[in-house]
Amino acid sequence: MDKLQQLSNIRADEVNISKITDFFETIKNVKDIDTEGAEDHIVKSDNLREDVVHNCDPEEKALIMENFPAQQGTYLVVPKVIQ
Amino acid sequence: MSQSTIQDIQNKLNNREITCVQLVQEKIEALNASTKNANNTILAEQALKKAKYYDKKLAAGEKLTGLEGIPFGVKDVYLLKGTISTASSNILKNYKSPYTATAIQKLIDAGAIPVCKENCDQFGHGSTNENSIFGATKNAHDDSKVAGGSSGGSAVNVAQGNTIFSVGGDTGGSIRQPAGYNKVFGLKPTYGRVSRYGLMAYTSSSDCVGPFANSVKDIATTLNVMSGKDGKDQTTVVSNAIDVDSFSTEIKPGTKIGVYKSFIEHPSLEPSIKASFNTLIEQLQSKGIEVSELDFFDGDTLTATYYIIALAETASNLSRIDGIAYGNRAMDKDNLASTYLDTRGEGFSEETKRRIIAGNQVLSVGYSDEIYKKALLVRKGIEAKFAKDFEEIDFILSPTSPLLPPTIGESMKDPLAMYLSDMYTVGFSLGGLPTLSAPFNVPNNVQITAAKGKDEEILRFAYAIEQSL
Repeated sequence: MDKLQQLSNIRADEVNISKITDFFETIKNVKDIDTEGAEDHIVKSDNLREDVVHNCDPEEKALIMENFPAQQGTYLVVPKVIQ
Repeated sequence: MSQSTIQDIQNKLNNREITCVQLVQEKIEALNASTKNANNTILAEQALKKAKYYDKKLAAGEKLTGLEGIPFGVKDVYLLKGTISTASSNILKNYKSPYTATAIQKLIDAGAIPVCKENCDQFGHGSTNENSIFGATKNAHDDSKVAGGSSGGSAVNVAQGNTIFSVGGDTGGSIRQPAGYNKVFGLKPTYGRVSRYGLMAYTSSSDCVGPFANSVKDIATTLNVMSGKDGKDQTTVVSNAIDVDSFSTEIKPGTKIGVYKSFIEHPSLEPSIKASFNTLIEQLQSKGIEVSELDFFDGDTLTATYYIIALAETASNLSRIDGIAYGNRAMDKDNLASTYLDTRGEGFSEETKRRIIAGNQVLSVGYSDEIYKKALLVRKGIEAKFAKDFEEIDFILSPTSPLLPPTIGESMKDPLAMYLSDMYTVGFSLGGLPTLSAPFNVPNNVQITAAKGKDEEILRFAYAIEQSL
């Protein structure tokens, strides 16, 4: 199997990305980039919310459980990890 | 078009010319009767329940204020508690939102009534609204043409009057371009002005929440409600409320606008768009506006920079959707690896898979430094150029798209051509700049862009242009 499909965890033999790689050549050829005056970061680390615990709303919890793809009684079923 | 639809409708409700139930019923019927394929879910039961509540309020002698009683649409990438939120994908076809996105909750708290979840390109991956398990959304004005994307359903609903306003999402043009294709107003606010919490992430560093409406004032009113700092989105910023009632109908003489030569001289630009854009610029000059032609990055560089960053971020963001805790899981596979491979192989469309796989290539050894980090550096160069330009000018005006809306079925054959059609919108996304797509006398609308945080200035300018021309 193709390495990129494995990295992506997607079986996708029909997908062709060759045209996207044209962008790679374009970006490699950009010269003389002047970054003076640009902001350093979009996310600032001094912008944090208060460290307070919020309890999960019971309705939200029920909806999260309802979305679980497989259940057996009160158990949530995940794929077998150990062969 | 110039008057506030929201205000007109609320006046009718308050004057008892129409009941809220009648209003919502009328919209639900129009949404059901529409042949544009603009909606993934219609929320009739919930919406009518809310309408009854506002009718009771009116019956008790109270007046409706804010957005009370106003029906609106929601792009199907926003979570709305208890409703199915699919992102137009197979993998989330049955996914039920456990909570509501901050921006949508603020609108509901202000009294607006969600009536539908709108068709869009899968996870925002597209510029035509054809990448959807529900099929293509048709253009509001021509059934054979695309609605544009990714927020195509939202633009079409507003153009048809089936929602009073709709909430779209804009990562690289997904509000501005469909607004252009369907001739309505669409705003990509300054990055961080509106919380992204509860929006399914595509490219977190440029995803923006914004409104579609039929008037500038309705854009401002809905933006005011959605804006604000949110502890659940660390990138949100504080912003001042826009004083909608003080909008002037006069263009301020001496206003300075810039036009990018590389945009106007690009060979792909449709001649009819170029001619009418140039006419608009001349009309503005005759009103005392100063116009400068500016140098800028070419369209190919902007598109390449945007897509390389967008692919990398979407590969990372969508890695969480694997069918383990939610989403349609491929069952009874031999091993865990096959469960992942088939769940995601069957759950995502060809275009979404293309973007995830290419994104993982961009981030892999041998490409990360040369391609991804170089794109980040070019992005910084683009931001620096904007910062310099806005020291000299107030607004940049540009076409929204180089092409007229394509015929349905054409674009999916040539993804690269579709990506390149985003060349006028993606640069402003990379800069995090506010940009309005306005239905003035140019096919596909005109973009008005200002420096970060100057959303109000754009809306004031657009209102004055609309009233003056």
